[in-house]
Amino acid sequence: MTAPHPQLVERAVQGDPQATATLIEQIRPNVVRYCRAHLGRIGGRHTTADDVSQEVCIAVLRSLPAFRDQGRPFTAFVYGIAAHKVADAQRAAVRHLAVTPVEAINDQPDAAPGPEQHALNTDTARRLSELLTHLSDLHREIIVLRVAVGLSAEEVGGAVGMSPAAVRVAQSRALSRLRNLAGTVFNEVPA
Amino acid sequence: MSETRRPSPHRQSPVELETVQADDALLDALGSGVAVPGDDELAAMLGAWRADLDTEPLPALRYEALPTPAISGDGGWAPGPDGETQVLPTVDATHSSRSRRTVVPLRPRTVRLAVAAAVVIATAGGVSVAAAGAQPSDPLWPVVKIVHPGVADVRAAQDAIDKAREAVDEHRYDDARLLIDRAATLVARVRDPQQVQRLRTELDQLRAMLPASPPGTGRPTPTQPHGQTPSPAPSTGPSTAPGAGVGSPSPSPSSSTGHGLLPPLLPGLPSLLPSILPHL
Repeated sequence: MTAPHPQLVERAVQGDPQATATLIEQIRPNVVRYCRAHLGRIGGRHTTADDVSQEVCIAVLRSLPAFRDQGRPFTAFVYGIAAHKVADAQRAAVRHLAVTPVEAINDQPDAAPGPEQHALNTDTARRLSELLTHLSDLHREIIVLRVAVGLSAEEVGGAVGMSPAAVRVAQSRALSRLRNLAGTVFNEVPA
Repeated sequence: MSETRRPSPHRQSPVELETVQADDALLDALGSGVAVPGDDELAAMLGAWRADLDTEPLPALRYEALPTPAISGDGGWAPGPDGETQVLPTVDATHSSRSRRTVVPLRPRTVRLAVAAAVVIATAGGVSVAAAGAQPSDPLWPVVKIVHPGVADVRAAQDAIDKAREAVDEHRYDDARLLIDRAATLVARVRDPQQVQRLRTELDQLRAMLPASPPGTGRPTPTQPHGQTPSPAPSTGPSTAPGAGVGSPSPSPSSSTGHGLLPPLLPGLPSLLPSILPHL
């Protein structure tokens, strides 16, 4: 992911509607992936994650005028907001699941486009999602930002409040942990 | 394995520099979305996971969507206990009213006024908004509403006043009264005292131009002959006194004529501005 151009951000912060619309369109695909990565599928679809990504974009828009005051990189600003929204959604989901039967969570992969390969990918993806839940919050956030969003180690450092070097060490630990976790389940995974 | 072992500042066991570099390169590749060659099973899983995130098309961005109830959409989530009232059907009252009745084309004078208003906003409002900023009829208007709600309030009020003035000019007094009521509601949302003063003055001038007769029951004739217009009554507006009407933002008077002309006002704004409108 290439970070939005600082001039574009500046114009958007100053209230230029065209720049604002362009900016939000630039960050939106990454925000969508971020939310999908954290929230996964419900009922085989990313509908809920996409709703949350919508909220993130609106919240970013509303917070834009205050952006400069915070003195953070723009990506850190965006994913700070996104992290809060995702956490809110996860809390809401927990509350909801506490009172609702789990039948809504259906692991059927979507059979629409390119069924077989798609189903295989979805299956693998779901296994990885499961592995991610065993990581610490910080490690999971780093992996999501690095892989799903595509931020650089430097940008991730800005977002999570660490030096790039510390991010690189942490991401290696996260991968190492994932490999260990995967080793325990790979036996059942066709290569 | 290698000699390049570094003392790590962290409490856990040190990580090999080579490993750190290789992992960093791997994550860079995965993050860019390209397929990673090799037989690294974890890399393949991460690649499949990343690819899976893009399988569904990008959802359309709905500027008017509201934070809390958006979750409850089709995801099957329970909305918040008090979230129901925020689900508002109409997107943008300005747009819908315009599209429903295409009576009022944008005139050069209106454009000039709008541009002038934008300049005033840009200089007086303390927010450096580009003078070419969006107006309520603009496709980018929803963006302005979200990013600069204060500016949007002023422009929306100005827009309603402009439309009311056009209605007065064309002797559509029933329309004018509705539009004036609506503008008064919008003016009540404006925070900047200078803007409020200016907009109220415009509203009062418009009210003074209305005929003295009470609002007739539904005579929406857009093209009334000029002879029918009574002399403008200078005293007070018929439905609301000039001073008091501005302060009372209740939209209820507009329903009395049964026009069905004006849907709820800018439904997206109330929930975006809870501090301004504590109850709506």
